[in-house]
Amino acid sequence: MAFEKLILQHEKRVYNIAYRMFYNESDALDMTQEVFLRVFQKINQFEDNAAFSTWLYRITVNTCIDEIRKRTGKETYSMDEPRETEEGNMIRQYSVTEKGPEELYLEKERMEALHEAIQLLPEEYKTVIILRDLQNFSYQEIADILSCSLGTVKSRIARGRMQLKNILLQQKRELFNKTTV
Amino acid sequence: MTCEKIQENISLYLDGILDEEERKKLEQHINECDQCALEFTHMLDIMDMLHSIPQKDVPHKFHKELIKKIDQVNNSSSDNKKNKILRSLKPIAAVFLLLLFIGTSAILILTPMGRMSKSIRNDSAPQEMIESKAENTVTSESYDREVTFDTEESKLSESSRSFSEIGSLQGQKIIKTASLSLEVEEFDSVIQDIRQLVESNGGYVASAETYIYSSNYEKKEYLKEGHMKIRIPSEKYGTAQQQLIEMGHLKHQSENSENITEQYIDTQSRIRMLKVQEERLLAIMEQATKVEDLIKLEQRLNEVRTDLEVFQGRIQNWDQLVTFSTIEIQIRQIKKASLQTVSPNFTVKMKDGFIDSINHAQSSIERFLIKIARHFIQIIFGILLALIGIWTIRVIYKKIKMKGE
Repeated sequence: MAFEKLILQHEKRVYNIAYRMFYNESDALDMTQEVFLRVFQKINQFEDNAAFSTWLYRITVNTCIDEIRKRTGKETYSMDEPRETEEGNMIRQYSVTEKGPEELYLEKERMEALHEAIQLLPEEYKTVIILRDLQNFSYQEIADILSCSLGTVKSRIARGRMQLKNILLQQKRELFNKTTV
Repeated sequence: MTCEKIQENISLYLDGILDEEERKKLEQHINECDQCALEFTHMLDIMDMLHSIPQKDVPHKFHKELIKKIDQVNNSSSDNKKNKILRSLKPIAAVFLLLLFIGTSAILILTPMGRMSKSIRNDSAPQEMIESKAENTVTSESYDREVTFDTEESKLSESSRSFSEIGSLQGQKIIKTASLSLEVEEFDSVIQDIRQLVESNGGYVASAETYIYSSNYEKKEYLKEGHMKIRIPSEKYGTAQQQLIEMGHLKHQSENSENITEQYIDTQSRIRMLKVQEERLLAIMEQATKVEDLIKLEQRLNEVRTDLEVFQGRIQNWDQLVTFSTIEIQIRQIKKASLQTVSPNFTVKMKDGFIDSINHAQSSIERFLIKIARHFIQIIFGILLALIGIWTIRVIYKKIKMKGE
């Protein structure tokens, strides 16, 4: 069926967005399935073919955010990685990880840290960072998907990145502290 | 530009959406400001890191399972709900409409249709009777004629014998009489035609009579019948008859020729003799002297003259009759569907059949319309119910459709 073609086209992207939202494979899979089911059911309501991807990803973002909010009641953190504030609590996993050769682990840790940092972002920043830096949607596309103005998108992306940077620096500091200790 | 603003612009700069002016400002500032330059570096790092995160592949099973689930959704729940309710509605709707249909048609069919055929028969019956009467009269007339013909004929046969002795027929005095019975469709025009014919042939109408013999007040049909006695110059008598016959449908024809030559001649000779007597008497009266004689002579003269008048009158009459033949015409108007030929029985039936079918068709249509008028309200009611039913079904269908979405 034609719908399968649509699924194949967008499957990976939807999955990655979901994965980045939850940083959890099974959650991501559930979410992806949910997204496509919703799309299938609501496809009658959809009017314009040109804006289909926008519509699809809007559903993706909303489905994920709905689920996140459902789970935590808070904007920011997912259940798997409970966090309280930005101020720099260490990630359990992070603290437990064993350290091998410094560089390797640094590299790995760097990536890990990044992933975690993304998870720590507030909802709005997280969404735009995922869409912009991880999925390469254009500013305009993001504005369409999130149904907000271009200006909002610009400021959110800028601030999101800055926050990310701050979180990473914090973690780095701690890491740095740890390693040094 | 303040550092804060510059730092805000770094992100945009790195995405390449900063306009020319702002870009230059930023580049300039970064060259000068260490803090901002540091920020710039950090931002660059982060973005590099972000961009280096690989895309995860969708697990292989997942796609298949997703397709399965979608198919399940497609076939089950929502559609079934729709279909089930629709399906259960369909028979209900069908039964409802069927009942309506049966109801309304039952109302219409309730009064039996086939009652009226007999009354139609009755309508045509009197017509039949009239016609047969007319026929009878016609035949009786012609019979009378024939009777006279018979009685005359014996005389004629005698006189014809004597005449054959006398010689050719050219000097003969023959009175021709004919009787025609015509059936026509257009009565008045035929009468006109006959009159014209008479005039053009140099004849005259001796008598004419018209009356209506059949009236049908409902249809406003009045059938006329008429008698005409016309006198046509004897030389044109034959052609005139032919022309008359062509005017209508000949039902009956009879001809009669009376040869009165013998009587005529007798009468003529008597007249001669009477005239001679008359002259002689006149001569004697001139020489008579006595009054008694004169009176007697006078009486005798009167007798002679009276006889003379009678005989002369006869001659004149005969002259008339011989010169002008008589044609008696009976004209009868008939309805178009019922022209009769000389063999009456079959065509009478045919005519009846035609009339019947036309009348029947006409009255059935009338009855049907009356029936509709009588049951008008019920019909309207039935239609309203049907419409309401259809409308309700539509509404329910729409609701189901919306719920499904």
